[in-house]
Amino acid sequence: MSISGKNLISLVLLVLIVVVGVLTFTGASALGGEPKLDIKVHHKEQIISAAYKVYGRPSLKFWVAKTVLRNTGDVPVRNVEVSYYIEGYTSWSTPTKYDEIPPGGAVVDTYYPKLPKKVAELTSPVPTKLYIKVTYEKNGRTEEVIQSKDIELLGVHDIVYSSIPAEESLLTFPDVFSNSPLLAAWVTPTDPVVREFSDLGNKLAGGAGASLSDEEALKTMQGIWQALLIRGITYKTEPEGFWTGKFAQYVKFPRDTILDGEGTCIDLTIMYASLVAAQGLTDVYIMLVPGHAFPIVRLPQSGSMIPIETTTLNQGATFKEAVQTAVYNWQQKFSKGPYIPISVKIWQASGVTPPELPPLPPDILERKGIKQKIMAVISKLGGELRTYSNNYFSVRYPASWSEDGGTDDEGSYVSWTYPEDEGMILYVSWTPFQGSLGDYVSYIESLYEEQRIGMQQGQIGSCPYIVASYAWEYEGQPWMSNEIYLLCGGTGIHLSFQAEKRYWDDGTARTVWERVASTFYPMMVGG
Amino acid sequence: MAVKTRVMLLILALLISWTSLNVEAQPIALGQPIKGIELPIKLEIDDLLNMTVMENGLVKVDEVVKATATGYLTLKQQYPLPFLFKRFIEMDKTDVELENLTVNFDDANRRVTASYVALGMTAKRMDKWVFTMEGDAKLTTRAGNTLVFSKTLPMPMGGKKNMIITIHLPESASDISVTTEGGNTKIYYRLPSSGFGGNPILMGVLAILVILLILNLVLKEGLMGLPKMLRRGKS
Repeated sequence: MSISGKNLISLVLLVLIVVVGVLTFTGASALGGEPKLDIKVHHKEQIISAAYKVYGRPSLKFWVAKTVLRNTGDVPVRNVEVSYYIEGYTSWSTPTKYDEIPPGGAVVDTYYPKLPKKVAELTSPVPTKLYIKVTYEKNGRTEEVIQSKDIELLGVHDIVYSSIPAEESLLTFPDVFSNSPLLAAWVTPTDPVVREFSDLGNKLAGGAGASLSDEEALKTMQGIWQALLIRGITYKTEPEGFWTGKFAQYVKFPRDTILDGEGTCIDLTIMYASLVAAQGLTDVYIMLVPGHAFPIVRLPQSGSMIPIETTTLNQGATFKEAVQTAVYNWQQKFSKGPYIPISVKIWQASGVTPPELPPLPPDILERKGIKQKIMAVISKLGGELRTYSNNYFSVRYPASWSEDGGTDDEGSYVSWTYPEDEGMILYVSWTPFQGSLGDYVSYIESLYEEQRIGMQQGQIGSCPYIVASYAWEYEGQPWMSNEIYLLCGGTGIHLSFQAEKRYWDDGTARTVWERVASTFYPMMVGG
Repeated sequence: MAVKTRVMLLILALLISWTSLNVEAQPIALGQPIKGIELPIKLEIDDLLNMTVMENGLVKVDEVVKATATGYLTLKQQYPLPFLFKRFIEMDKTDVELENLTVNFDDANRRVTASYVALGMTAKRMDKWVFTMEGDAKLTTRAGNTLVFSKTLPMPMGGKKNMIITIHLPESASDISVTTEGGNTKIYYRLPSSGFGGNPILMGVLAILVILLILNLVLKEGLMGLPKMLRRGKS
């Protein structure tokens, strides 16, 4: 059988059409080029396990991997798919599909894994691998590229403050603390331990409705502070950190700080924020400044921002002192910046929520003797406070205490005594006095044989005052007192709160003193 | 060790003293009312972005940031050097890669200008292109393929930036629609199909081959008879 010239040409053309067609539509050709995909992967070297839920919420933008795919060839790259996998913790993610990346074009693919609950059970860092798989069409076949990266899942108490690689960090305060919003995951107002302790604080405050008014909020905040003082919470420097080459810290959950009785400034900040949030004061901030952290509470009515220097728990400071110290530090040092205010309310509402913490015995505060200590003070305080005022001063005192009054060597006086054993006495005297405040103090001190153990000076309006502490023995029992001397409008006022040392030791006297001192106010303050 | 890494470690060593700060205790406050603090920064910034979307999906951005005299001063305190300004620009571009960034401080006019190319703002999926903007932006104006959006973002240290974003889609873009999905603003559009997307030179060769095949089949003597026909046509 012979083939005519015409048919031969048709056959050759047909073969050529098929060959060129295949080359045209598979993209490969010596004349045209082929798809070239450049793959660059950014990834987080550490996963913060306490905030493990955050990584699965794309709206929060805490991606674990960000893959940049760039077409550096001169034909489109088609049917690109990207998926990820964290060894031991996730399965391969559903591939993200891109129909086409044109020549010179690029796509950026991010990975937000839904991590399992078991991540929150890690007590120390665990190394693992992150895998990134990219597939695309090349010359009619599917090309597959797999890359792997080392990552570490941190223990549930560990935070690395920045996930920005050293070579990309701008070394600014926000860069070094770029993960700081994740601290909101440590704030646990619904933890039963936190709620119970917070309720005890609120009872100390007389059962205030914190979110109703500024006054009630401040009462609650003060009650919680007093509960912390009674518990004997102390501030400590971090004993054991871990070093990842980045600024990292072991951060306790509030329950740990309450039960251990100590914490760093960030632990105390998180604990206080959780305790007040448990009473409905949810608009709380964790304020980060260089080298330090402290909580801020926004009051419900005025919106006033109240900072609290929680590290003054160590010195047994009153709530007012803690606020005054924080305000002073803010005005003198920190307000100039840099600082990062982390709104717990906003971040938690956005999805930075705490992990599931292991259940504890429901009576854990009793087992540790914490509840009994606070309840004992509540019972001695005898419930509500009542206000006493005259032309010279006003003060609040425990309503159940026995009242007395009259005149003595100091002048006119009024006093209230703890009725059970007379182991605590609140006494205020006032008398016309011409002379300096120092003269007035010397005059009062000459009437007694007590040893002064400390003194501070201050000013309310035009009235100078001195706060002093004394110690002495009475009928074989050690006693201590805090006293305020005030000179105002030609009147000397002396407030003395005396208590047996055992009442100072168990926190009762301190709580009474805090309430008395913070409500004591002269009536003739002037400019 | 690289100099930058050493500087980083030095800064970290300073910051690691986190818990060692001695706070200054203040004397007792008596019955004075408790006063709070105010965060001093009430920064309000106008941020104008002009985005040109290219046919290959890359986005060329020109950005102008303006503020009042105080605001500009605060902004410069937070971002004292042009390279630090990168974080301001990236604030709402977490899923994007920036390239060729240039930043200039224009102190006389209290403004910062920046230009860069953004990768990853667009992608072609399910036969459509999608342009994604982080956050919920409000479409204020649309004229042809130009869309204008506005949105407000809080600043990390307090205050806010008011953004006006003008997006120029490619001239050939059609079937444009705007939606909000998962808290992000998305613009869908179509570009003329690149056909099967084959190599254009090869497609030309293919077309010639097909024409030749048709001629070969149609002509009585096939392509071999073509020269004869042409000669006949001349005479």
